[in-house]
Amino acid sequence: MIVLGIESSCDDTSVSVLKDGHILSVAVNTQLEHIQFGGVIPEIASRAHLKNFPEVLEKALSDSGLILNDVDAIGVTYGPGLVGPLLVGVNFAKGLAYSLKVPVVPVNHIEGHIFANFIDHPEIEYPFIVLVVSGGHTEIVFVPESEKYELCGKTRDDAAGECIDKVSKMLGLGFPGGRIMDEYAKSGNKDFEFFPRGMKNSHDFSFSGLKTSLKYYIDKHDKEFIKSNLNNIAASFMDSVTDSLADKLIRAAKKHNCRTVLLAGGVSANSMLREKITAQSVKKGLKFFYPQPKYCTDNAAMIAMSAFKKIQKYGIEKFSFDSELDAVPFLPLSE
Amino acid sequence: MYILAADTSTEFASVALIKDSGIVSDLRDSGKQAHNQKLFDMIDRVLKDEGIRIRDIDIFAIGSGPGSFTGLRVGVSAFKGMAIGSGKKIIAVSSMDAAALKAFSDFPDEKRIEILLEGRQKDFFSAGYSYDGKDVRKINEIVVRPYGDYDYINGLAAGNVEKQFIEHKSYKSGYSPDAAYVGMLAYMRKDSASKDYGFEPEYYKEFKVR
Repeated sequence: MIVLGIESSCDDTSVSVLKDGHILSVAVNTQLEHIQFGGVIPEIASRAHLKNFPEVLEKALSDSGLILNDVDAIGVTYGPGLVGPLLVGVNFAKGLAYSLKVPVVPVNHIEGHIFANFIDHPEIEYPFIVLVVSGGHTEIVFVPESEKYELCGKTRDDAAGECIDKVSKMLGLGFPGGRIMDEYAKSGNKDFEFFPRGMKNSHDFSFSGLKTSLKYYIDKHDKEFIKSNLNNIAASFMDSVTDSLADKLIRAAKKHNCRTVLLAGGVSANSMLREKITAQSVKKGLKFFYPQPKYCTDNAAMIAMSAFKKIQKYGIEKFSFDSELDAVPFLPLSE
Repeated sequence: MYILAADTSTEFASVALIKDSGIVSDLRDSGKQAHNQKLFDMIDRVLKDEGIRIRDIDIFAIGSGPGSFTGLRVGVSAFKGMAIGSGKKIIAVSSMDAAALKAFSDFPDEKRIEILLEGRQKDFFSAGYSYDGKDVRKINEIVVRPYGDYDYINGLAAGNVEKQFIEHKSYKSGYSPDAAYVGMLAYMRKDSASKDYGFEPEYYKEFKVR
């Protein structure tokens, strides 16, 4: 069973080839066009996907050693995400599938992030609790069985990744903030300053208060002080973000009497977050899994894996070529 | 030789099948928008009517604008996918050229026709065209003009901007880019079809970040 995965929900154009549950290749083109604007511009992203998909597909195929005619099914992200970028991926996938006479398996992007964990850890068992955390999402989801999703908590304002990006910008460290802040925080002292933890007694998250307190902190101190303490401020800030994330994930696991916790999404590549959840998991005897960094950020391997899992579960005959498959920008995780 | 052609640059999608130099099938979607959900059904119909399969297509021809950004995304990404999936050549045909060919087929004696395509922001794309019996030729580069700016027009003008917005006596409306003409031009230009799938539509409007 060869599955081709296609992903273009935001600013990464990605294609992956999967064979019998194993990823043979994954090609990703991360659009650098957006850096100058400090955020993703949807129209620019759409145009870049349209231009780059053929080249990214060719790379994924040549790295896999297979040819298009070997493909048995195509998995494609149809939401949630930016409508223009999604439309390009969906129609490119439909075009390929129409010519190849293979079915299209529509994949929810967030479900893809969750399934990314199975790429390196096929041994993961249900039920589990997963923290989906990225630039657009911060959600804790209880997964009692395959494809059943119960929302335990979500952000009431900014996504964690969005907050990190904005604070990185405020500190003059640039975009995208995730990796930059992680690097600065590594050499900093997290006890240098205490920043608030939002909604401490709720299942939900809030990061806008934290963002505001950073703004006041930066305004209050002179530029030289901020500049010479960037690593300390980054560490103290990331300490607050990761405390909220880790504490609520562990608390949800306890509430649902779940022995397995997972991380998913771009921010799950963050080292401080992984360390904190690892420490708490060891203490509480929980199994903790997270994808390797290249499967944390947006990628098509997770989409191919999701499509493969669905084909395994329902049988390939349940999927066909749906000429009307549309992009759904606000696609929920469960109906 | 079969050419599958489409144009999705306007609110009315169209699909056509060209066999050698003739149009064998020609479909036009009557509803507005949602090309995304109709394009493949239309393609299915033109293939079935002729009794052929997608693998029998030799060249894929897609109208490449200027026009609706969303429409172009849908059509161009679907056609790239189909061409790559069947390992065949693709050709991007300017939607404006297609509208020009349509105009010259009705007014073959004109030396020059000004083509006006709707720009959707109270503006239109405009270029002058000539025709030598083989192919249409753009006389000047495409210019984006606001509604009301049509004093430059000498002689015949044609396009898909609604007549109420272009109060010029020589302007003929109803000349939309159309898959049949995209396909005809693709046939005339078949030597420039290629497996270079990395091309972009003709947006003609730079996207400005506010």
